[in-house]
Amino acid sequence: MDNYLFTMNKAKLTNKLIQHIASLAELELNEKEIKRYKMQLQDIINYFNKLSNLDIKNIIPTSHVGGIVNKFRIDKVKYFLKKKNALFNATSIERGYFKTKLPFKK
Amino acid sequence: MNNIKDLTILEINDLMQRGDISCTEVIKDTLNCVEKYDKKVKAFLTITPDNALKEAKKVDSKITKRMKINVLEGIPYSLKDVFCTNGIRTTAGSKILDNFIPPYNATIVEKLNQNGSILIGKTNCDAFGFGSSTENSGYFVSHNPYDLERIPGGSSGGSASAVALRMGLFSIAEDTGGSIRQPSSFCNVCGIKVTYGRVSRYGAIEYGSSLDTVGPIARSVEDLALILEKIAGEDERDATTVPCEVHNYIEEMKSSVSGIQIGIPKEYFPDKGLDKEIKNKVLEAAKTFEDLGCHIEEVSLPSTEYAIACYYLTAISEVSANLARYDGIRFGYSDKSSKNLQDFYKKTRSNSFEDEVKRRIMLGTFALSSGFYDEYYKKAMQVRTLLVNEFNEVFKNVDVLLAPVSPTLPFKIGLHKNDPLAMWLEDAFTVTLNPTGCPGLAIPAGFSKKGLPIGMQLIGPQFSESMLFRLGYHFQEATDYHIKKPKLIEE
Repeated sequence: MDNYLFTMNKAKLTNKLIQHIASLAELELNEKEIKRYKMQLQDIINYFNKLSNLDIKNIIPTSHVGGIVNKFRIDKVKYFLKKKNALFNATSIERGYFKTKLPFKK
Repeated sequence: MNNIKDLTILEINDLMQRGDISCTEVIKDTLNCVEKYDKKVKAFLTITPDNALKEAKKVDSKITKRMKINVLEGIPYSLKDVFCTNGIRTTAGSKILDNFIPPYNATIVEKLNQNGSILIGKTNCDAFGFGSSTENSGYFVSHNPYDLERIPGGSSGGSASAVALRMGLFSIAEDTGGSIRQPSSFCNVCGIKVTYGRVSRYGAIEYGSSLDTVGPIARSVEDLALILEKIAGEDERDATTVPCEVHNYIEEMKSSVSGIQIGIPKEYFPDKGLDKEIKNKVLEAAKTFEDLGCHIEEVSLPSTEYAIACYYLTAISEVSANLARYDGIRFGYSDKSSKNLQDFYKKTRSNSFEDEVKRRIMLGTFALSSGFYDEYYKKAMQVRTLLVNEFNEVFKNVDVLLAPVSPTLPFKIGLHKNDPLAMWLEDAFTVTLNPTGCPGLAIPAGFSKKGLPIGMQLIGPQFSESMLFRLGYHFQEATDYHIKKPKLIEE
């Protein structure tokens, strides 16, 4: 990872940073898209920066409001998809398995 | 007898039970509306008429045998296209799921099947629920039944438009940041964003998992209450559902509202940025509640101005994680041209995700990435605590809050075309609720001079749906805004 991209506290989006983010998100952008997203995303990030006005140093973060912790149930098989149904939506299958491109070079 | 189109669920149930109308007549009337109006508003992505008529025959044969039918039995409804339906295409409004046929039903679908409700089709929405207008749908834009040049709201715009035009008595939708309440308000129908964990999310295509809620859109509070009672409750397949008693909403709804304390949060009535007509109508509604015996007082939720940033940061971060599953291998669009796996992922996702989907995934990836996490995601989680605390605090003094649903009237198609941030700011009063988990009931509050619907929302503490229905029901007994229908129907 290019660490220098991340040295600024408040993000200033560059073409390089946009491409890096796209790559982390498994997306491919053309020149036109990079230009457009850079502008639109910068706008939105500038808006997010308003949170810096708040003094929230000692506030505990909330990631969930459901209030439920560790819900258990008996691990009993009741229903599961038949192999045929589980594979139904796949574009490429072989001998009852999902088939993908090679993840590594030969 | 009234026109079938204007009957409530209880009225239809009663007439069917007595043999005065058949279920087939009800379904045919609904399909007739789809035939007439859907080409104008484009609410549906998929319709299932054959199956609906087949199911109607089953209900009719039960009635002929003098068997008792359930209250929701034979009632036609639609589903926002984000719920998995066994054997029926489910797109989430995105091209990446264009050919996806789920091999199982969402819990909500199972529950409605058990109750005998009849699915007539699946409605259009912004792709994955990302939007406030249906303009981000990968398929087409839906139209507002009150003005075809305007948006019906979103993301559940197809659902709200369908309900307004009698294409089903109700629709099941999802509210992650206003997606049920805002389109309901724009189409003059009623919708409830339930408490987080009140209704199972199993089989609902994920958007922001800590914010997503499933709920109904219908033409009256009474109908909403009937439906929620049947669909709420714990589900062992969704560990976030809460084992909290489901009330007899219909029974409780009728008790008096006298003495209920209603807070008017001043941050939701700003001098700038809120349409004057909306402000006046909601304040008029406050007067109506006062006449019904409620106490009105001004309250304050000072962190409201930070809620949009908090909500969107939370939502997009969860989006970037949730949408990582679209890899083209097990389901969904799959690129044929690529040579290796990395290239395959990139091409599959880039060629089929819509613009707004890419934008949100990238922003979420950014907010969670090393170096920016503390500055963005973590801060949003801390602001979430502030919002929760403020709501808790305000509900010590008042029972519910009354606020507008949207700061603007339904806007013209294309208004925010090149300005995604402006579109996000449309959600100022709806996204505030989801980070807190609290429920909100959106109901009609009147019309603008141009005849566009205006909605208001009643907001309560977690699991206060019963009280929201009670207030909504009494308001609808005292007013007739919710009975007014689009001119399209009267023509």
